[in-house]
Amino acid sequence: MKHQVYIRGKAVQCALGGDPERIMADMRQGRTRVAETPLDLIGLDYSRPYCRLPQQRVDTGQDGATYFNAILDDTIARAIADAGLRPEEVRQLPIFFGSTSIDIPIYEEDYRTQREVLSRTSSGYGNIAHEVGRRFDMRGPCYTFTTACTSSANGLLFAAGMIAQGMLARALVVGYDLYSHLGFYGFEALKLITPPPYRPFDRRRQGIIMGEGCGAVILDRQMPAPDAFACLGGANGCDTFSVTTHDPEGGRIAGVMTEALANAGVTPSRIAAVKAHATGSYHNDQTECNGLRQVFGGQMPPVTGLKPYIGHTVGACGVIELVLFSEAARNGFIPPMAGFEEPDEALGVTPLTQSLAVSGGIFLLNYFGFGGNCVSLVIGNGR
Amino acid sequence: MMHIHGHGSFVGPPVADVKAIKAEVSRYTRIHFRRANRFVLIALAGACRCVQGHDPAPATAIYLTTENGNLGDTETVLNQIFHKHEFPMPYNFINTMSNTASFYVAQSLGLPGRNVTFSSKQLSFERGLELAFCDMAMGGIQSALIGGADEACFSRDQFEAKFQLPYGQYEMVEGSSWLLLRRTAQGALGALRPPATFESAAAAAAWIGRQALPDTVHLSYGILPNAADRETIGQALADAVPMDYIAERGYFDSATACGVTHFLEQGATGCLVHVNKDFRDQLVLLVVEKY
Repeated sequence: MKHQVYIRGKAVQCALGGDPERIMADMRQGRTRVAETPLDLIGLDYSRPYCRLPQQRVDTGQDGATYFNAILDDTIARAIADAGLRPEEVRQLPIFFGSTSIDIPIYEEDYRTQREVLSRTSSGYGNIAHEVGRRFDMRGPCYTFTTACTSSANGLLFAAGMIAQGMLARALVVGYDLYSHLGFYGFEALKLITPPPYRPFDRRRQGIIMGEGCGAVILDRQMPAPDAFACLGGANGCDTFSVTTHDPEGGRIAGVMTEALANAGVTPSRIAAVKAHATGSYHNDQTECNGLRQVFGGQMPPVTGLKPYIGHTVGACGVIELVLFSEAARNGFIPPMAGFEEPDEALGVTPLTQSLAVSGGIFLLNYFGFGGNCVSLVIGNGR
Repeated sequence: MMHIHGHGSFVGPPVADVKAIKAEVSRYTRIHFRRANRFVLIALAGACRCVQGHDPAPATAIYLTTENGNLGDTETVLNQIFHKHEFPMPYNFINTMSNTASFYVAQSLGLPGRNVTFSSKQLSFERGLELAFCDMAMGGIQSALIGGADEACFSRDQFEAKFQLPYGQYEMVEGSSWLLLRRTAQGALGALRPPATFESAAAAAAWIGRQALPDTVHLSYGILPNAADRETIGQALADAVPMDYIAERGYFDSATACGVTHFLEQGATGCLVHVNKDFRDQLVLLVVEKY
């Protein structure tokens, strides 16, 4: 990379709320917030857990679009404020937006009484980012990524790349996925949702718990503070094994992690900790651990995952988990894999069971998704 | 500069039964796409045509640009949940994620490299090219397959509300158009310059005046540049040959990609200047040179 790329500002809204101090305190205490969500739309009498935002639409009295935009705009505004951007810097901002559900949460409630709402009213995948640009008077180009659970991780990767190449001075990167019936019922149809507790990498893991949230970061060439995190590199690749699952041997996943490390110019031995994708599904965890062992061999760094705290926020997890992980590290700790109790010998990877004290370092962040998409990012700070 | 080594397009009026598209795809690949839907198939058909005879390197990156993605399966799944009151069928649900199309392109062509499904409204193809330019500049990729794919728009109301243009003036088509790009000029049939963005037609016209262009320039427009934009740009390229690919090929939301491949398919020499615009009045110019 020609230019260093720093996280200049950030904000998040997730099941643990939007206050960074409270989120960090909750993560230190291993607290999560899970709500049972009924499957009554299809006449079933059971529910499944979901990590919902503390305040729901029904609490606000807002319509779907107003609620959707309020969360999005609040998160972006807080990221801009955190970065201390001047109005002319905001005006020039390009927008990188990543999401799995895009605008479906806005429209799907209308299907209770109508049909083909999306075909008649959706303005396309790119519309959310363009409307953000209009509301915030951001005149930079808009880039919307829709690569399932790696969507906003790809936004981060490409934004960092374009800044590093000098094509952009700074960028807003947003990951946003609100609860959607389509996603919730779809994942349940695949039998991927587990009852609590959520325990990725555990021998008794049974699947994922979904979450909703929004994360926003301002990436910039200028270092905002001595302990600011930099995006050092990353990689994207496609595992063509299957549209739903990666190669269980983990070969392509390992390849993407290796490419990310090479792109960042670091060797595996310099990685202080790994934030695994760690969805908690039986096969995904097996595949990721097989890949991790190929990259790190017997020198496995501490490994953790963040989904037990906030749920799997699908396409938004790229930015949200970057924000939470980097903020925790800036606060001097790497959170443990909450919920984990019993190692699985078949995985060969035992995640952190207690917080790890850190004072800076280089970290690897993994994200994988349907469609074989794999993204690994390397970040670091030098405190 | 990225060099064009191949191009291919599968664009036409929508057919009710996707069997015809499956038959087209099966001409190029032995993989049986039993679960593939319309969007996946139209993406595959164009990509397969593009790379035929080119044997792209396994590390070739794939950038699938689209405005609407898998509309059909998303409608199906929402109908299953809200009206049939049943779980979505697993493959309908998986196919709501539009990157299944870029996955199947990768799988059928044996390309496990970079893979992105991407959108930017009317400028999806142009912005996708920017991503490819960035990746090539970083040295991360040596070759790329980039395409634009969309299903046809059947809603008169939606089209007219969106574009403020008469629906009946356009033939609605669907499909995908692709380019095979490489860093090397050796064996290339043309080249692409990095897309250039402007806040006004006057700024775009001034930029055109500073470019070294071949003697023969073809000029085409996306659907949104208005009469004033065309007047201003037209004055800067007074001798340009008009190329109205939307009139010739029909309209779909990935029309820019179709415009580029349409130019490359013609016997014309020189270069194409393609002018496009989004709803925020950003103009993007694309210069395509044919060797």
